[in-house]
Order: sequence, then C-alpha cells, then structure tokens
Amino acid sequence: MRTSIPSGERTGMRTLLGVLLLGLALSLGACYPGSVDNAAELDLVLTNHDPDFDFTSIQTYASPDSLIDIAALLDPDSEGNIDLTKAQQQQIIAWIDAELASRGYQKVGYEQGDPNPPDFFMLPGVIKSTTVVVGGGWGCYPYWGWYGCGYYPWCCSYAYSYDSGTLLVNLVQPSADSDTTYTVRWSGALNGVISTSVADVMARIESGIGQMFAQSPYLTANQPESKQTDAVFHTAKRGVR
Amino acid sequence: MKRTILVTALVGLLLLPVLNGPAHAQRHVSYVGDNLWLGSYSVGFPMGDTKDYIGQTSWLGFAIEGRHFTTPNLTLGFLSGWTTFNDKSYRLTEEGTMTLSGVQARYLNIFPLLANVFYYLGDRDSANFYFGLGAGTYWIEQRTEVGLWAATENNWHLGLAPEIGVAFPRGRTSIVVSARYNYAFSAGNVGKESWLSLGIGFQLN
Repeated sequence: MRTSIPSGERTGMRTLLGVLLLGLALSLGACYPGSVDNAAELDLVLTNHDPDFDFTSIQTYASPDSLIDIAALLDPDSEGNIDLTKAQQQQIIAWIDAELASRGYQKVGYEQGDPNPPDFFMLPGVIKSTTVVVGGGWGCYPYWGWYGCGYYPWCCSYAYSYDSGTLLVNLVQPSADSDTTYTVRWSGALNGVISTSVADVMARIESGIGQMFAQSPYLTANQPESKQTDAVFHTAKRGVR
Repeated sequence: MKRTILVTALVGLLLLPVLNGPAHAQRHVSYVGDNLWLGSYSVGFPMGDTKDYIGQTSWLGFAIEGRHFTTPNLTLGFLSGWTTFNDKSYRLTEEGTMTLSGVQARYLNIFPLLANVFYYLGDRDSANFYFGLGAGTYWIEQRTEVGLWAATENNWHLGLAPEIGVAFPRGRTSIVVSARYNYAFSAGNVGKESWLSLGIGFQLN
C-alpha cells in the first residue's frame, strides 16, 4: 500500500502547480518574442532583372531631376502624395547616381526629342500609403459619411495607423522601333514604414539604395574583372539582431 | 544573463521540495495502477531542416505528462506542452531573378499531443532510468515575417518522440531529467521538423 505523506504531497502539488504556471507564463509571453525594435527592421529591398540582358552593353543614362509621383501617375486626378522636399528628392537621385557611377555608368543630359538618346533611363518613383488598424473595446469611427460606434468584445481597445512608402528605381531601355515603349531591364524597390524623423527616413533610404545595388552584382557597365558573382549585404545592414 | 537567472530560478524551484522534503523519506514501491504526474521545463535544440530555418536554441518550453503503470515497469501515458523557437536576423533570399533582403523574424510554435509508452529500470526508491517512445501529432505554426508582410503555415504533423530519462526520487516526489528527440513528419507546405528537448521536471509519484 502507498504510504501517505500529506505535508510532502502538499509541497509537491504546490511545486508542480508552480512549475506549470511558470512554464505557461513564460511560454505565453514568448509566443512572439523578438518583435520589431525599430522602423528600420521593417525595411525591405527587392530587386529583379532581365537575366538575358547584358548590362555591360549599356554605358550612358539619363534621369529626371525629381522623383516620379506614382500615385499621381496612376490617378491623374490625384494630387499625389510625395512628402519629400525638392532637395530631398534630388539627394535621393544623387545617391542612385553615385551607385550607378560606381558601376561604370555615365549620366548624360537629355531632352525629349533628342536624336541621340542615352542607352537607358533611370526612373525613380515613390508612392505612399496609409494603413489604419482598429480593434477591440468600444470605438467610434466614421464610416462612409456617417458616424457610428461599436463594441469589440474580443480584446482591449486599440487603434493606430502607419504610413508606408516605396521607392521604386527602374532602369529602362528605349525600344529600337518605338519612342514610347520601354523595356525594364532592372528594378529595385525599397519598402518600409515612414517614421516621423525625416533624418531617419533619409538615412534608411540611403542605406536601402546601397542594398539595392549590393544585391545586384551583375549591374555593371564595363568592369567584368571586378564583377561579383554573389549578392551581398550592404555594409550598413549587417549584424541586425 | 536573464536566461541564466531564469534557469537558476527554475532549478531552485524544482529542488525546493527535495531540500524541504519530509525528514523521513519512506519507501515507495511501484504498483500497477500508480499514476505519475510530471511538469517540466525544457530547452530545445533545433536539428536538421528545423535548424536550417531557425538556428537558435529555444529557451522556452514546457510539458505536462501523465503516466499510468500497467505493469511494475511499464507506463502508458500522454504528453502535451508548448515549445517556441524564434530567430530574427537580416537575410538575403534569391528566387529566380529576384532578390529579397530584409530583417526576417521566424517563429515556430509547437504543441505536441503525444501518447507514450515507457519502460522503467530498477527500483523506484533510487535513481531509476526509463526509456520509451511517444507518438501522436504536433500542431506547428510556422511564421515568417519580413518587412510589413508575413506568411504563416499552420499544420498538424504526425510525429515520433523517443525519450530517455532518469528520475531521482524523494519521498512521493521526484526530480526528472530527460532527453526527448522530437520528429514531426512533413505536413502541408512545411517539411519535416526535428529538435532535441532537454528537460528538467518535477514529478508526483
């Protein structure tokens, strides 16, 4: 027969319960550990290219002196949504130019109708969007012209929004038989959350542009001897934990 | 440092009943029909494909178990619990002509539901070893976040879990140290997962 030891059993039960509760609390709290520490961690750089195109076959390019407002391009009636100043836009273009120059490409002047167009165009564009997240508790929000309140029983009340932006850089080549048709040879996109600090946004854009080119080693004009074979991390991005 | 403190605190908590246990521990013999209840903390070491996905050790895991003696040395029981692996690092991914770079946060949340059978060696009055096998399912959430996007896969995986351990009895309680290899077969779009769980637990005999 089993010998009863009441005091030890009580201690044991308490300890077992303590272990379970502690383990449960630790695990619940750790459901999604290591969340985002700063806006830069949400930055994403995507590049794509025409694998059959020889990037050493082009030498010169031209570009506009300001960023293309993609929202206005898509909807001619919209006022666009570029928040950057002219100087900031030109700074961004200068960073892209510097990367292209380091790959051996030469920027030239160009006016529409010029009989001697450059080998390709660099088209930089931006678009911004706002995401609103609302959930939980009581909330009163405007809906399509009327104002209503609702109760969200499943969670605490919260509401927030964030602006995200995308810088798109396209390298396009004019078609030989058309003045209006272009073929995209390379695209780079930087997407991220737009923080309130302009200096932070600009620093992240500079770093993102660097990363676009760092992960595109094939993008070089006439330097096959220094051509890298593997995509690499931009220096400023290393060591993120 | 936090992990060291956490593990030390847990070990201290687990040893508490031993240090403060009954002054006269009494002989406790295993009988058919006895039940064992076990709560344990575990550290997980990813292996194989799981290690390729997340290389970091999991410091967050727990399990609860019940074992029933059907013979003096053989138990049938169940195990459930929760193990979380996570990793956040800057990664560069190439897919065809596309290259994607950014901070990727990767998570595996794992809930095992296993039936198990164990064979105990020796007398339960002293340190006694056991070995056995668990089989059942693992519910695994695999989540990859990059930038403002996330991809989640939730699947039930069939799985096996061979385990060895040793119980150090003290009266009607025991400290149990165990090693369990978890193997979850591929399911859905997720490949096989495997990891080693090293656990320390407290058992009611």
